[in-house]
Amino acid sequence: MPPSPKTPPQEILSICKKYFIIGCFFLPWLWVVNVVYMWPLIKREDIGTQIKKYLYLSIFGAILWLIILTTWLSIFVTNRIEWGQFADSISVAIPKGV
Amino acid sequence: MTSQESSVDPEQGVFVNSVCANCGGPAQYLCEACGQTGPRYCSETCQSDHWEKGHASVCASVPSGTESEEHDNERNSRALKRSSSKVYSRGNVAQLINLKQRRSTLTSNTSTTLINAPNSNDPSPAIDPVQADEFRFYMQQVYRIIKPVVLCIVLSVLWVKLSQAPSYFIGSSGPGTSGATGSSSDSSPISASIYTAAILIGQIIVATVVIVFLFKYGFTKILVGFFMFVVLFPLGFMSYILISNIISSLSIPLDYITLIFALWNFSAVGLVSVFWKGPLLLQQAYLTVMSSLMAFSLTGLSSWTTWILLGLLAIWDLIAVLCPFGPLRILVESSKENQREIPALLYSVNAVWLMAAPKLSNQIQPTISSTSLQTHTDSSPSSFISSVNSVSTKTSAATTPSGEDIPLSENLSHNIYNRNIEVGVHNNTEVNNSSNSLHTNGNISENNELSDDEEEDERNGLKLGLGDFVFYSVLVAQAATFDWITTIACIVAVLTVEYS
Repeated sequence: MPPSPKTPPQEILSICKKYFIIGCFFLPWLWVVNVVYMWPLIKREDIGTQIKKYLYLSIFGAILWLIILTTWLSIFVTNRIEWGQFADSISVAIPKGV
Repeated sequence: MTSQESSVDPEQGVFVNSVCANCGGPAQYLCEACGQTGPRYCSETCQSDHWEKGHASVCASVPSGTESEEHDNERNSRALKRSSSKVYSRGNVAQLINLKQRRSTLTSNTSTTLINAPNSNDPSPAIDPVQADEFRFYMQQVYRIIKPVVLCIVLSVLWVKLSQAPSYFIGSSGPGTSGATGSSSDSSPISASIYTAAILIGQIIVATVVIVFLFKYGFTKILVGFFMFVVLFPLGFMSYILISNIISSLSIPLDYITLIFALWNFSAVGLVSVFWKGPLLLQQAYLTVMSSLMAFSLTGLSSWTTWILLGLLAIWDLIAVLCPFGPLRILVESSKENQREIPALLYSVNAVWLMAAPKLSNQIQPTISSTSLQTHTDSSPSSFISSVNSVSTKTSAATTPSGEDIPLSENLSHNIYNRNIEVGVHNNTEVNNSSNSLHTNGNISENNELSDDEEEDERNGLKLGLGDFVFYSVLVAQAATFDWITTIACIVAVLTVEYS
């Protein structure tokens, strides 16, 4: 669902930029939203090529975060038992019978 | 020659029709329903004649071949006018032709078209195309309104059921027990429940008064901040409660780092999409989820407390809106006299992009949350609010032609009616203030200022108060803590109320 065609291109560009900047605060989900939202606008000429830059950066960052998250989560889940005390302290809830 | 002279030209593969099907003379018109493959006519008279002579049984607009009633010229010309400005039928229209079909055939015609003019008596009633169009439109709108409410209810039930799954966890679920063991305090006397509910209502009242006060004296920034806090709270804290509940009941090993990260993401994007520009779908989704979260957290109260609370809320709504000293009435009046809009958390079905309102277009939206309005049985305050809405949306000069395609949603000049409901769990000493926005049933605010041409657009700009969502979701969620039969029965009852 791209922005309305009536929105001035400068505004669209600024929104994209702001999404990107806010997403730098550990917010990869915002980057994903940014990309999904603005992707069809790449083809519009009046916005320019800058939007491409931001969108590519966003998606690259989002993928990076995804890799980091999955890595951490898999490590945690598999090694939770071995880590013992430390793992218990950062777990939200400890499953019974482990 | 009375039969239609149409032949397929083998070389071109096209019907060659240029003679009147009735009299054989040069023909300029054709039967609209049949389109290019239908008979041609030179005049209405011939069309009527041909209709009687046998076209009635083969015409594409009559599926069963039965005759249809005569209808007013006026109705038909009006109906036609709506669909296309090219055709104005002055003759009697035999059947009721589907508007869409009419449109599609019209655009492909090279010659002007005539609607079938049946003089014959057609007994089958069929619906007037204008009415059919209206029906379709209203069904669409109803669907659009019902969908998020139903979704919210379903989500609330989902949360409740998930958190009630048998739990094998060991400890560490301080805030989580409230949801999972909601039924444990059923045995408490009613007086205690009344007491709890009264406390909650008291907090709501206090919050309402504060909000109205802030709005009236123009502390907009504080209001904005307050609103943000109010939205952040359910998104953040209640999600945390919910997720820790689910984790406990489903025995998912998860660490705090990931959880906090996920919550942070979820809440921040929710804030952005609700309070600033963002995709409409996302905003709708967040509002729905937020309402369901609030409803879920209220299941932490005992059953009696919840029912009493709901009743008291309804009564409070009545008082607040109708009585002269009610805060909501003051809110509405002060908004009118100051010509300021009441910002609010509204669920927009279609976003309205306000272009020509310079002072509004760059503002950050959500602002005030006034407390909710009356109950669904009382409709006069709703019109009150609608009129306020129309005042506040007066400055919007343009709506986009196709409401559905506008994703950018700014919560400009929406009326939010938020309530503050305290989540007072017996074991919890913390006071959580979350606001629900309550609105009456189907409180639709339409922009009455637009002209007829934009009627379609304005109708698309429906806004729902979140109160409906929360109210019903609370009901259903509370019912869901018992068993499935109660849940389903409650859902059916709520939906019936909604549809009627």
